[in-house]
Amino acid sequence: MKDLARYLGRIVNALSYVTGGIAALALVAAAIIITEGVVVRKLLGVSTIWQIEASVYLLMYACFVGAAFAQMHDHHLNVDLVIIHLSPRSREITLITVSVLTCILCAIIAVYAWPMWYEAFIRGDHSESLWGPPIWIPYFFIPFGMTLLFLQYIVSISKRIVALKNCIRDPGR
Amino acid sequence: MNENFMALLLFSSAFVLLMSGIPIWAGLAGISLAFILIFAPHILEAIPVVLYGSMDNFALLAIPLFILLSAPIAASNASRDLYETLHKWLHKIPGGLGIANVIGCGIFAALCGSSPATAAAIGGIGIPEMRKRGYSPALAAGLIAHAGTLGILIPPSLTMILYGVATETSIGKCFIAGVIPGFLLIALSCAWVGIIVFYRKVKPGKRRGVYYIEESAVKESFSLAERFSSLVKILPFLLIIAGIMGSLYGGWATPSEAAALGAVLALFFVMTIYKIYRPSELWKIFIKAMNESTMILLIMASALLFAYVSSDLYATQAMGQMILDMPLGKWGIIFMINILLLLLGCFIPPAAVILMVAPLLMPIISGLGFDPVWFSVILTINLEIGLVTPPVGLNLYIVKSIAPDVPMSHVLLGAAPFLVIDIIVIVCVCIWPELAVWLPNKMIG
Amino acid sequence: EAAPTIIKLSHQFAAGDIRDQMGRVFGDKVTEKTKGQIQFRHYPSQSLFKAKDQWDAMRKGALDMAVFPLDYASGKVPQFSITLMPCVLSSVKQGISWRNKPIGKKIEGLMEENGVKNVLWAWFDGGIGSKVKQIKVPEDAKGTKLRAAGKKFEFMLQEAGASITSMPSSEGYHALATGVIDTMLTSSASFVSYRLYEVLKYINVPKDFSIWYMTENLCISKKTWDRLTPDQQKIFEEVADWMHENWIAQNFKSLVDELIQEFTKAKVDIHYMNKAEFDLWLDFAKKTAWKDFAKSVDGGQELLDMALDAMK
Ligand code: NA
Ligand code: NA
Repeated sequence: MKDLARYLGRIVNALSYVTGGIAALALVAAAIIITEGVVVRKLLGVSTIWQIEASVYLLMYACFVGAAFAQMHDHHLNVDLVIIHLSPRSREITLITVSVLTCILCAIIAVYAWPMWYEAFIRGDHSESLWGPPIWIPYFFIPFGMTLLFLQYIVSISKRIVALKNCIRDPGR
Repeated sequence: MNENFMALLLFSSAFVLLMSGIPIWAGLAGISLAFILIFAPHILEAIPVVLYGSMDNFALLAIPLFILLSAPIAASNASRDLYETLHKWLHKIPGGLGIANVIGCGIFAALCGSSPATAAAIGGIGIPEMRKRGYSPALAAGLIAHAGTLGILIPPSLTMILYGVATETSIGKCFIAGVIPGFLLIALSCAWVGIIVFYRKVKPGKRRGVYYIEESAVKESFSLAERFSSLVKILPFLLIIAGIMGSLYGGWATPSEAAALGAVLALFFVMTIYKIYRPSELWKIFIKAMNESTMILLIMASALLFAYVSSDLYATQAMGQMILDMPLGKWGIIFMINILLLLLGCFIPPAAVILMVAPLLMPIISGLGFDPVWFSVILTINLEIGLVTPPVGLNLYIVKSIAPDVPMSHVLLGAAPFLVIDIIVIVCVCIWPELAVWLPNKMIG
Repeated sequence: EAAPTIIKLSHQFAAGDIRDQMGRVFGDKVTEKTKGQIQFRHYPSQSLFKAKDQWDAMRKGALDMAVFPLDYASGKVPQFSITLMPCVLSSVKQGISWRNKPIGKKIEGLMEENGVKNVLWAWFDGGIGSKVKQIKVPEDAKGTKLRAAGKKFEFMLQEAGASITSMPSSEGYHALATGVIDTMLTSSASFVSYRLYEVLKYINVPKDFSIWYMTENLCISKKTWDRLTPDQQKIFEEVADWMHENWIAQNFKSLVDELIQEFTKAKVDIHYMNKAEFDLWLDFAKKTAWKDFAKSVDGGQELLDMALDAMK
């Protein structure tokens, strides 16, 4: 059972690392694409139809899929004004509780977001611009990101439970 | 259920949940989800629609792009060069570095229309450098968190555009109306840095409270030749700023596009001049920029989900209506509107506040005989305060992600005096409306 | 007595805009006729959903009603492009007459297949504003830096030699002011509400003829519609009939007058398109946008033929 958890943790982390790396490149790509649009429009006087839209989709990827990478290192910001005053043990218990809540939240969003993607995919919906790429591609980012985030929180929770056990075993820490 | 009670329940439960230490995005999205499940289950399916729509916004790209602009500069020696030059030129002026940062935010605010983007662009370099040179963490973080809010007061401004469109007010006039109050804010912020220099200057290592500046150990002096030769080192910065400014006002690019241009230029200079081109080094920079961006963007997305739920339940609108129905005088209503805006600003980002309240407040504002251009400035400064108040203060989180080791309480304490300055400016603009409306009337008529 | 049903009505336009008024007049009439059984909550300026998201929100039943530009859903229902197609109408009145013609019935059928029911046809005209020259005929568009509303317009004007830049309408003002674009097509109402007269020098006003028409219909979610009692549905239909006959065309006329008034005050050069110019555009549209629509959209040719029929 313990091995299984460790194995799962490694797979999820690897997945978050790869998708997070792509998210980083997505931001760089967005900057380059927009700059390309500005330059060709000014120098060559040609139409720039797809650049803005494409960069918005890259933004969506960075936001929703990059989130799991940030969670891997526990980077998501929180308000620590109250919990820093708690004892280590009650702080761990609080953090585990909110992690469980967050995990459930990710699952619910994913459950409602997958059908939106699936429907757009089956119907072959496109964006309404002249460029008009298939809309299931950006629709995919929310459910995919939330599913990854869900898995990442499961890994975090299991880590926190280990920390809590140590805390209980050694309350002097 | 009564909408006012609903509003109270929604905002207070969000407050309590956020204080539990839950990630901010999850707290906002979680409360939204809970209220949907309890009060409006038929809109459950709208959640992914709203989340998608929240990011389907080109103007929002300015935030990650300015983060991407400052990340390579912060990672290279470029920031050291910039600050050494500034130091050589400004070291005789008390608080010169702090003032340079305030003015830097002001200049950046003239480039981009978003406050978090301004804080990210200047703070990414400014906070570490100020701290290195003896500024207390609270002061450095608070100064940037607040000066960054100038982004929406000094034109161009994303929120002024939204306001102008929602209320059919001249966007050009609103833009110009922000200029003088913006200068006033800059001047008063610099004055606060000056006050600390005169009253809270301490010997290195002898910290006093949260506001202090350590004296540099050595008294330095630089020859004129040294100063001018240092100017060469800030050439790349001048080129980046010129590139952004030039593209923006020379008709090359829209504000959001200028951010991308700046990011590419920054990357180019760091690779060529500062020789950071090994894939592993670049990788670190990109990952850092992505990490900061995704945190802010996810908070933004969930804050808009929260705004959606409060709008669907009519909670915000009911609160606004309640104030308007109060038997108060002209200025009493303005006072209550300020309180409402401050409260909403605690939870909801500026753009969403404007979209929700502008249509509601506008008829009242003009009905009371106030100038809508004047009100755009009052509204904007209120929203600026909201950007640095917990639980949802995007600029706080930008600063926190730049300096994660500074406790949130210190960031807040550092920002608090600047909020007093904001309130002073609001009061000034109320007493002397000309501060806001004189320049636009002079220029556009 | 049962609690009143609350209908949430959303749109992207400013409070007080003619489209906001349209929703409010409709809502007030329905509330009155149902003796308060049905009440409306109005959400102007995208204060509930963003403009483009309203379609999915109505389909899913999360939003009851919207004043919705049908073309915004043309990625999902490509046939809707006919509602923002160059030269497909020659007046607003003609557009409103679609409701009793095969073309209108066809579009309404497509809407219902997608979970949204049409309530009011509300066509708007638009013009061409520029900083560099008066755009009278297709040749004039050559060399301009242009933002067009709608992909069929973008396609046609690109064929005419314009350099097209896609951007959100919120950036239009700033883009014109700085020169990122120098020409912009949009609705009469937007020319006024975005205050584009502050930055434009020329405008081709849709007084007698216009190439730009778009329908921004009042729609209702099928899920909401099915929840109404037959009596209530009947009241909705009666009020819709009344609005079509007595309100829409009558009140929309003022938009162009307002446009002319504001742009005259701002000393913008005004041109009124004439029949000969319109015919040149019609010819050009048939060769470009229409041809593309017929080729790429299921039943596109049939829709164009129906639209031509409705023009007679
Ligand atoms: Na600005
Ligand atoms: Na806040």
